[in-house]
Amino acid sequence: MREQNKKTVRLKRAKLQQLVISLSCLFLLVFAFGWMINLTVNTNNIEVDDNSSHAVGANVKSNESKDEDESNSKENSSSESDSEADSNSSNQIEDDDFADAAFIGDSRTVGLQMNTDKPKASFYASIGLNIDTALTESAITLDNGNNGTIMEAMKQRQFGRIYIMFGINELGWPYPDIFEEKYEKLIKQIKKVQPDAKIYVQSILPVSYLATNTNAVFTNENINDFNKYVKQAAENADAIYLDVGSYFKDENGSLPVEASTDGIHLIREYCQEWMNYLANNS
Amino acid sequence: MNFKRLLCLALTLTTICCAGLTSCGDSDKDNSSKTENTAASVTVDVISVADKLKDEIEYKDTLNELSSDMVQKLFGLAADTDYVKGKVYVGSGGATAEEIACFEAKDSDSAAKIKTAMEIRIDSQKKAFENYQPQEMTKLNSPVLVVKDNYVMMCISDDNLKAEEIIG
Repeated sequence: MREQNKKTVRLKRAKLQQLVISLSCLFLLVFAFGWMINLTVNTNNIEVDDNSSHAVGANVKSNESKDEDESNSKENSSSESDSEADSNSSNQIEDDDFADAAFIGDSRTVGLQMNTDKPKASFYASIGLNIDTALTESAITLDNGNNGTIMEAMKQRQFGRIYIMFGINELGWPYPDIFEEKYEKLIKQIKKVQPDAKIYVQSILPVSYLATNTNAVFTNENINDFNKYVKQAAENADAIYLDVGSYFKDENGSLPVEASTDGIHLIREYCQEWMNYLANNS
Repeated sequence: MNFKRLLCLALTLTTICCAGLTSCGDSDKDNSSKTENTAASVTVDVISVADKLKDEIEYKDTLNELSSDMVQKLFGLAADTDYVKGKVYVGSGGATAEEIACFEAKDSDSAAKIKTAMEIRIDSQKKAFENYQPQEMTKLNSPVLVVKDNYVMMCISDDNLKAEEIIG
């Protein structure tokens, strides 16, 4: 009897031990399973982070894209009442990389380069350049890294389109006919080395009243007068005259004051509009 | 009885294996996090310095960011080969010489190359502005150009004290 009781107690003890071990193992298994799921999720996150850190070289580009998106959305929201042609021009700037184009000019063209993100286009422009120094001054950085004149830059390769804009730095010249003569000479020289290119001569952009603070010659009357000579030079040299200046005139015939911080040089949104105009009209 | 013992043994072995695997995974995760944290802090530094220079200093011009392609074209610096991260802000072209450029170079050689590119840029701007906007020569003659290890930071503004304070 006593022996049988002992056996029963041992049996119960063994069953209890097995139950405790089984429960412990089950608990550990559930814990380990949960941990593994957590680990898998974390590993995926790290892989994503690694991908982003491998792509740091593209940070500037992606930020720029973000800026572009923002400015595009700004443009879109501000131009709800604009014509269909304007919305077409907004699309055009992204489609046309101007890889076959050269832009020649002064600080306003430098601004066009800085603010329109067209790295495939060639810009032969310099701050303070005018129609006289364009032929003589080594103000352009050539492909080989040296400085050269506009004509030396033009000889580097053949272009499909060439856009020229001069005139804002010449507004103080007393003899506009000399301006016309020199402009015509530059166009003809360019045509000689670029026989297959379409040459577009752009009118001088208007200024806002802020420009007169810089110099009294910066008036829209003066600009309109000089534009007659620009047009004549284009016609004489058999080039295409593009009246981009009229595109930017407000109801008073001036550049809108918000288009520029100094009344002369366009801010980014207006440079993009300028590029849109060229894409749509050439 | 035998079945229960086998089940217990199997569960125990499975648990031990899982515990081993998870502990290995954990150590990997810790290592990755450390690397990531190091990279992230560097990224934030360079970009935020450029942004602070833009936001906390008063400029006459509106400054806009240049794309990496344009940085390569204008400064001759390639995103993949010369710098790990970089941000450049330029003005509207001719109104002022105001400019910000901050780079984390790939190594010390690249940092020297970037510094030289910045010096060439400053010289080129001096030539362009000296007869056109002579008042801009004040900032071009005393540009803030700082090199710290592999970091090259430039700021051309009217507030050099603030620029130096931000760059540190």
